[in-house]
Amino acid sequence: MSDPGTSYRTREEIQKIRQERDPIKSLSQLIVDMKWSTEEDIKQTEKTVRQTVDAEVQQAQQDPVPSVKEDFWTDVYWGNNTNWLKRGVSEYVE
Amino acid sequence: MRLRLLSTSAAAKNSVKKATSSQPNIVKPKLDLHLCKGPTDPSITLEKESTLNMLTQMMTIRRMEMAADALYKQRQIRGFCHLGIGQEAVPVGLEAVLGEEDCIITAYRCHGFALLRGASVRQIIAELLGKATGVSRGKGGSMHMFADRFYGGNGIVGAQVPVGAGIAFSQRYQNKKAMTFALYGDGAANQGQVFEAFNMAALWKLPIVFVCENNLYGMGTSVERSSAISEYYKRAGDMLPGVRADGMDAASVRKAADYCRQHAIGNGPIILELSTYR
Repeated sequence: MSDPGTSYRTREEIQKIRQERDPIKSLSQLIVDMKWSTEEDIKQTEKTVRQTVDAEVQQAQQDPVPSVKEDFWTDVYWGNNTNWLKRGVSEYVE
Repeated sequence: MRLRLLSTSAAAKNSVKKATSSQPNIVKPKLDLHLCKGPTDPSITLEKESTLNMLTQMMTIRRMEMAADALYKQRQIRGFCHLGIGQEAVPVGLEAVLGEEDCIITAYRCHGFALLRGASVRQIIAELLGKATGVSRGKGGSMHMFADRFYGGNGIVGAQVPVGAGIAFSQRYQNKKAMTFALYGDGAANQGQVFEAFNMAALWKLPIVFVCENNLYGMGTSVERSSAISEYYKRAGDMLPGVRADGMDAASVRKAADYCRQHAIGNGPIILELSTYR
């Protein structure tokens, strides 16, 4: 993953934009300025979001991988008909 | 179902209750215009409820992307995994103006869109991990996520733009009062098929907004090195009008997207450039 890299841009550039233009930071600031919410409440929201997301991530990690026997043969053609040769091979060949 | 979950999460309710004011805030986002007049009312009124909702949505996307980043570094996610950390205002701003029959299509960095269009965090992360519970049953991965009126996720740089024009064509063919947002990055902006899509959309006056998410780098190549003209909202020359807005500000994205959406339905295609960063 080259995304977070600094080989093509400087660390200072990334830091500067994260400081000055982060969309979450600036919207939080606007909400606080408008007195629609307080900094503590926003932190609390962030915490709840973190817990919800992390719980779902954990579930995903425990989920099963697709089975070769069944899932391997579906979603190749549209619909549920699995009675096709796939790349010249029948699913009934072991 | 996911959206309901986002907007009525316990924390959001909590902060609404404790807040001390509910006056709307009027802001005037800066829009750069090319061959169009811009919205008649340049200001936007932000309501408390919807603004808090946008913030919660952005936080959820950020946290999910951070989790994906960690899993990638632990080598649990294999293959491609492009994250939109920093660009959260784009999906959130577009989702805020999306009409009942409007569609979205994008390419890389599509996890946030999939989430807002109804996929759950579990389904998205499961897809990245190659699990059977993923949005594409674990067979798609990062760039192949789909949801209600969200046509992906596409692995071919720029290919989603003509596909988006096709969706807009079908909307017009069926006489729907709807439009399509077709997103691409500054990296894909130089693809030939993007200009072919511009041309056909202009000829047929398709209800489409070409959204260029300009995050300054196509993978590791800066816009200065890749594009002769880096003002992407002017890239179609005299053929299509364009608007440029701050893609790091959800309110600006919302305002610009709302104007472009109406332009697309009433007068045909338009380009929307959103200046962002990841």
